[in-house]
Formats: sequence, C-alpha cells, structure tokens
Amino acid sequence: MAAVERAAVPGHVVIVGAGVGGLRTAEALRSGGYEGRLTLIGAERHPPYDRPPLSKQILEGRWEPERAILRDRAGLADLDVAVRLGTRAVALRGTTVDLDDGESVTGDAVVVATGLVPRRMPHQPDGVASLRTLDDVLALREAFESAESLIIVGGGFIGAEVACAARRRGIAVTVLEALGAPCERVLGREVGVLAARLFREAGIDLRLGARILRMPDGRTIEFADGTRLSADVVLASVGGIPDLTWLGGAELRIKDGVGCDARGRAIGMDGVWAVGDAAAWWDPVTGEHHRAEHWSTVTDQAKRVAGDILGAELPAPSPPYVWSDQFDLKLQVAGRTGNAGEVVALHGSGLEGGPVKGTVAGYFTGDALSGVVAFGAPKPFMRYRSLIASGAGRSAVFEEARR
Amino acid sequence: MKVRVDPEVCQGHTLCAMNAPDLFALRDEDGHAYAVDEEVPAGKEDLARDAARTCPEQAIVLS
Ligand SMILES: Cc1cc2nc3c(=O)[nH]c(=O)nc-3n(C[C@H](O)[C@H](O)[C@H](O)COP(=O)(O)OP(=O)(O)OC[C@H]3O[C@@H](n4cnc5c(N)ncnc54)[C@H](O)[C@@H]3O)c2cc1C
Ligand code: SF4
Repeated sequence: MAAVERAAVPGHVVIVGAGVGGLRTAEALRSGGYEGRLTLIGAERHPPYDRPPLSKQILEGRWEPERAILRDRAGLADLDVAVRLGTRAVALRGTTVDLDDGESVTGDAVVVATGLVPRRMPHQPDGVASLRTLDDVLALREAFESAESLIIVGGGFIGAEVACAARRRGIAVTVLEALGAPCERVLGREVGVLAARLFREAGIDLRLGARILRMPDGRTIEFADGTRLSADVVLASVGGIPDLTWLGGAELRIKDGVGCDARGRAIGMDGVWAVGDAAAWWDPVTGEHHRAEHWSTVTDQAKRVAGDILGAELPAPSPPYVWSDQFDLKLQVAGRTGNAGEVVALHGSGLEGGPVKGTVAGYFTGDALSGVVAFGAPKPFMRYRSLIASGAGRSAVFEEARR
Repeated sequence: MKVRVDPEVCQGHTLCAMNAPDLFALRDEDGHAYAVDEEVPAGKEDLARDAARTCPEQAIVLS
C-alpha cells in the first residue's frame, strides 16, 4: 500500500469567528491533541455563545443571557487559546488575517467561521428589529415589555419561535410569509400546512402569500394591494447571508458561502478551511455543494475540520438534523426534506387533519428514506434518523412504522 | 470521570445517543437521555467530552 503523505501539522491555527463553529473547532483541535498556537478572533464583544436559546429560553425570559455562553474567559484560558473579542477581521492575505484594530495575525492554517448577518428587506427603514445576536435578543426582549402588537416578516423557524414567545406575553402577532406555508423551505408545502395550523391554533394572524410593496417607516408595512398594517414592533426574520466581504473575493462563492470540498477545505485557498453557516461544503451524497444553517451541522463540521487539519481519520458525517421549539412541542427534522420527494405519513393523523402533535412524516427519494419530520415525537424520530443514515428502503421504514 | 444527564435540561434531541451509543440511552416515554453507566468506562473519556459538546442544551454533566 502506498504511504499516504500527510501535510505537517500547522504550528498556528487562526480561527475567524467566535460563534459555535469557531469555538467547537478550537475545542476539537485541542481534544485531538493539537499543542500549537491557537487564536480565536470574534467581532462580538461576548465570549462564544449559543444562538438557538436566543429565540427560545432567552426571549421568553426563562434564561438569563449568561446561560447561553458556551465558554467564558476562564474556560477559554483553559483551552490555551488567544482570544481577540470585539475585533473584526477585515482582510485575508494568504493565511494572514488583518484586523480592524490595525494589527495582523499570521497562521499556518485559517478557519473561516463567520456565520451570517441578517438579510435586510429591500429599502428596509431604521427601527426594524432583527434577531441574530445576543444584543438583538436583549433589545427585542425589552421592546416586548411595552409592545402590544408585533409583525414578523418571515414565517421560518425563528419567526415561529418569536411568534410563540410574543403570544405567551399576550402580544398580538401577525406573521407575513411570502410562500404558501410557514417553514416551507424545510418542511415542504404538504407538511408546512401542519405548521400553519400550529400558528393559527396559537391565535397568530398568519398571512400566507403576503406581497409586501414597501415599508413607509419602521413600524408599517404597505402591501402590493395598497393596504397597510402597523404594529409597535416589526421584526424582519427573512433569513441571513454570509458576510464575506473581508475575504476580498479570494473565495469561490457557492450558494452565498465559501465553496469547500467534503473536508471543509476552501476551494482555491491554500491553508484555509471554512465551517458553519458561512461554508458551502461539497456533499458527496447529493453531488452538490450545500450550505446548511443548522447547529448540529456546524458542530459536526468543526470536528471534521479539526481532524483534517491534524491529519487524523475523519469521523463519518451524521445526517443533517435541525430542531425548533414551537407551540409547546418540539419539531425535529433530519436528512433531506422540503419539496423534493414524496411525503408519507408514518405516525399520527396530522396530515389527514388530526392532531399535529405526534405526527411523523417521511420524505422518500425513490425507494429510500431521505428525510423525516416529527412534531413532538422524539423517540420514533430517533429511530428514523438511524434509518436515514443506513439508507433504508420503504419496506424497512414501513415495518418500523407498524411497530 | 462521572457522567449524568440533567433531566430538567435535556430536551430529547437524541444527539448524544447517536454520537455515543455506548454511553447514552433514551427513555421510551419521552425520548430523553440517560447515562448508561454513571462511571465513564476507561478510555471513553474523550467520547464523553465530545458528547457533552454536541448536546445543544448543555444537559450532559461531567465531573
Ligand atoms: C435566533 C436563532 C435561533 C436558532 N435556532 C436554531 C435551532 O433551534 N436549531 C438549529 O439547528 N439551529 C438554530 N439556529 C442556527 C444556528 O445557531 C447556527 O447554525 C449556528 O449558530 C452557526 O454557527 P456559526 O459558528 O457558523 O456562526 P455564528 O454562530 O453566527 O458565529 C459567527 C461569529 O463570527 C463573527 N464574525 C462575523 N464576521 C466576522 C469577522 N469578519 N471577523 C471576526 N468575527 C466575525 C460573528 O460576529 C459571530 O459571532 C438558530 C440561529 C439563530 C440566530
Ligand atoms: S443531546 Fe442533550 S438534549 Fe439531546 S438527548 Fe442527549 S442530553 Fe438530551
């Protein structure tokens, strides 16, 4: 057998972006035995924190913000990582990162983990809220103290979670969604209809197929038919987009992210890797690049990038997983779902108009189970998740459903 | 090293049981996790640490 040539382990790894992806990469490097220098650069002043609780426990006031912190300063010191918080990378030259304070850091390897910035609506006026950072959620939580009405533009997962939190406080909520069902991109139309029922059962005014013409001010929406709607607070929850201007066009831009191979190496950039929401990795299963915006994908990628930098054996990728806490139930999604493939009810009668809770829907591509969505049914969900990983066919899946 | 799952915090994402089936199992009733053995078997410490980091709720407590 020919010896596999391994690149030397770098002496200094510079990670740009101190969110979950950046932090988990640093941790995985250390637990993989890396003893070289490690620098973590983060634009936000907060130590690395977790985003999923922002629109859930923190917005509802059940958690104080500190609980979302993944590693405080002392914990970062234990990791022996030089942290530069409140510092933004403004340029990349080879593997040298220029910072907004005028300094530069040169590594042998650079990991891009800079996440997303909220997408803005066309001509978005000032005063429109967004939700991506800890500071955003604290501002929103404060606005909720006095608000009586809220308009959320965008009926995705985050929009749904904010809508729930606001309803719990007795705020009147209108959700404007351009598509025909909430969360349609992830769930597909057929299953999205179930999510729509959850919105409406919770007393939310859900307007599907909404056509927004413009926003005359930060609290008012004008629709294409000329009508207007105002609220105390308007939240734009229309997704996010990586801000890669600092890379200066050196990257191969795919699906708005840094194009990477299946190990996270940035295409055409020696010594550069990318993880998380900012990265579009090659997916050998689908034969295309994919940019996920899911927590468990980020943590998985961080492990794989650390392994690749250290020349270690890479763990097998786990199927994509995403969850959302809405309307007092946990919505769980694994594998590939959305409008592709055929939807089959595996448990519960939600798809025939019965209760949404307990409904599990399978998404098939040909004979194989490619994805599954569960509404408040964690135990069966977990079993289907394994079936997706093993590429199970219909007969095995239906046998499981009959158990 | 000891490991336990805080039942108040665990939300049943099942990621721990997917990543470290030797260490974590799921309750039939609610899909929430528990540690198979309170004492982490020798040589499995890294796996336990790894599982703790892949729990989105930080429900896995190591001591
Ligand atoms: C409100 C909310 C709720 C969510 N809920 C869920 C959920 O329930 N389930 C789920 O699976 N996923 C959820 N997600 C998605 C999940 O949080 C993301 O997939 C994950 O945070 C992505 O991690 P990341 O490290 O790629 O990016 P981020 O967590 O965004 O971290 C990137 C960091 O890099 C910093 N940065 C950016 N540019 C620079 C620069 N030039 N220099 C230095 N630093 C820079 C940013 O300030 C940021 O702190 C949610 C996201 C949000 C916003
Ligand atoms: S990963 Fe965490 S939340 Fe999920 S089942 Fe395991 S302990 Fe519970």
